[in-house]
Amino acid sequence: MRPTEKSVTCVGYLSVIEEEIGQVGGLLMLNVQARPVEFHCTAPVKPSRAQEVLYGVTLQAYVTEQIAATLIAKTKLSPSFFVTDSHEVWLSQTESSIPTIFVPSTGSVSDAERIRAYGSSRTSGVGFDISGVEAFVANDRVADKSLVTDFWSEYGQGLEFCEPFERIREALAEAHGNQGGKKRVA
Amino acid sequence: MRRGPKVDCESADLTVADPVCVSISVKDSVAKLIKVTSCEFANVLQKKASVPPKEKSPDAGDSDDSANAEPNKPAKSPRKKMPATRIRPPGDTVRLEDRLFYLLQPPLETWLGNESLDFAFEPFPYQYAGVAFLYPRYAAILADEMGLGKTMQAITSIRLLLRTGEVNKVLLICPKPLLTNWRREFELWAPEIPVAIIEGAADKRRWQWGLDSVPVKIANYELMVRDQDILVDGASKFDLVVLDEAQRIKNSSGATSQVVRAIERKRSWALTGTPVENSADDLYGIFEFLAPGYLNTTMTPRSMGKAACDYILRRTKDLVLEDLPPKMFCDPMLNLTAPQQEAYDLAESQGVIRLTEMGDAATIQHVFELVLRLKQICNFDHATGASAKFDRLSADLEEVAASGKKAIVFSQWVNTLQDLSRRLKKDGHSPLEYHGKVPSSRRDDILDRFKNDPDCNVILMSYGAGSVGLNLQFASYVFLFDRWWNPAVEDQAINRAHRIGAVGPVTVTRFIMAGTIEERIDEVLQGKRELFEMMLAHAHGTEAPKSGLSESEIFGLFSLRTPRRNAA
Repeated sequence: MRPTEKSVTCVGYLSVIEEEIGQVGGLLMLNVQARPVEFHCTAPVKPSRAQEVLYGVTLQAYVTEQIAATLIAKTKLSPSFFVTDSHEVWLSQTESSIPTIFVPSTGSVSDAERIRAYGSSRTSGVGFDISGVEAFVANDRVADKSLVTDFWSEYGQGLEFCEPFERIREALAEAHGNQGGKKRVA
Repeated sequence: MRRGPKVDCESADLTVADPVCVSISVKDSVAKLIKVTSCEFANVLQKKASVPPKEKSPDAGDSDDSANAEPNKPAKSPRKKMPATRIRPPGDTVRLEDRLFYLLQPPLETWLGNESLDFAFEPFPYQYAGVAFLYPRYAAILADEMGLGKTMQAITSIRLLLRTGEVNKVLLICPKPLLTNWRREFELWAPEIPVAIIEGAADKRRWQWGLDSVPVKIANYELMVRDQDILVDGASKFDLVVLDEAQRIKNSSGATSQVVRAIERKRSWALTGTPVENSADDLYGIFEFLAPGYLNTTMTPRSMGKAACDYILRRTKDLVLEDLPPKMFCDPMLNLTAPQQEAYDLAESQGVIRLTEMGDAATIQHVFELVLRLKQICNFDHATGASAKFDRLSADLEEVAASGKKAIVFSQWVNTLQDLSRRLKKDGHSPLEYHGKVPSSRRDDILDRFKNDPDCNVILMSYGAGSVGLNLQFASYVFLFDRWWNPAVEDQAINRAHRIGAVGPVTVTRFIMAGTIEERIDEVLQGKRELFEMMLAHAHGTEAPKSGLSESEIFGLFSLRTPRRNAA
């Protein structure tokens, strides 16, 4: 019997990227064979000059939260957990019912260092290794760690944990007609 | 009286408007069950659980260990980079949804591994790239050089399309001698896929064409014309039609080409190592099957090549197989024996005199007859049986046999092969024959014996029967007893041995009789081969190579001018 949509075991990969035309986000839902079952992406969000001035340093986080919330609201499937390479997305989802783990993008140690440096604050996290990748769960959601690692040991053998982000980036570039000039939003 | 200051307030909406979200409905990733009872096409979503757990790599995360790790101090291990061959959308895929469908797929290695699609041998990276090229395309030419595994790449792509439910009915058309080879390759690379070879009497074939339970049908080109009533009646629809050795339909006005093009289908693939054998029109002929009207004969070769480039994938061994053993050429220039020389001189002088006397009435056919006669004398003098080539071949084969190696001898004539067989038997060899007079039913046994019988060191093959599709990489020596007109056909023959799986160097001996028609033909063909290689090295866009000999070149072999033709 074919499984219903809700019963499909899947994982959501969520990324927000800053491009010249604004911030764009993509959410890719993968089944246990790493094949896509859902993809949503946003149109570019570019705040006005007034918003930039008045929101100051919090603007980017705010826009990222809005993008993440919009994308998650669109999903038809309920993933076992979300993976994001955006620190802001991770912070905005720490109280969600669905576990969200944060994977600093390759070469970006600053996020990881920042999480450790926050100590016991809300933004601190517990790091763990998954498939050779440094990942974090929120400090007050340590139980999520075993959920993720158990899931990955059952389904993820031989897969590269962060590879789906590459797909999201390519898809966003394709959707917005831009093959370069983008950077991940921290 | 006091008046308070007047304060005007302007409100600015600082909330960011909800981002506009574009949802892409990714095509159903649940494999549709193929209606084949003997196939095990399970639901991919459920299948993972039944896959035995793979051995954990030392780099893999371990939940128990990480749970006990010091808080905030994740165990750092190097991120392992896996090979990743990504599927790219073809240039003619217009809809964003379709382009994203391909971009969002996992790397091919991951995908195939998760689908439990095991391989007899681990494919080379360029073969993964070939599958990634074919899989998304509705029109494609895989034009890899011979020996790079076009068959395997096509079968794996078909396997993937069948597994994902994107195709259910596949027709593969190939030259008749390759039918059983394709069946063997399917058994090797896709053992779970039922395959039917269409053959036998008309009633049986009609029944076979109607078999819905077999997803892959294999038929030969000759059958297309005979069964055209069945194939083009509208009832026979295929999701994919694959043409092996697709240069067979380069003549778009030929009956075979017309029938093949009339078959109703969704996807069209062509496999050929020589998409351009003689002129740019060859490519046009193949494209009339792939995408009718996309190319036209008024286009320059440059514009034709540019337009076709997204549809063609061509790799050469030099480019992708760094580990392939070398191919060494040995072109001994032999002298005719005295009886051969006498017969040759007589035949040539008489022939040239006759052609000269014919004047403008001489046709290319008359010249061909003379060329063939002279080439036969270069092989043997039939009056005395003298043959300088055979003497050399016999000596070389002694060494081959003594070293326990195996050799393939090619000739364009069955009579020559039979003559060679008789002579080699007298010399104590046990030669096998593989040519047009050997029934198809016996051919597999002959190849098996050549491979496995240590006493069979030599197989005698005709260019027609043995030059394409056969895997004889266990042979270390190839002898071209006489030369073919077209370098591409010679290359096909040589590459039966010099292909993936060859464990040692392959020595190719091309016999040429000095001062004869063979030397003159060799000079012309060598020039064309160099031109062909140069043009392929520069990809598309230059004038297409002419591999065979033109009319003026054939007359020029005897220093004759090409006759003037009156317009009809």
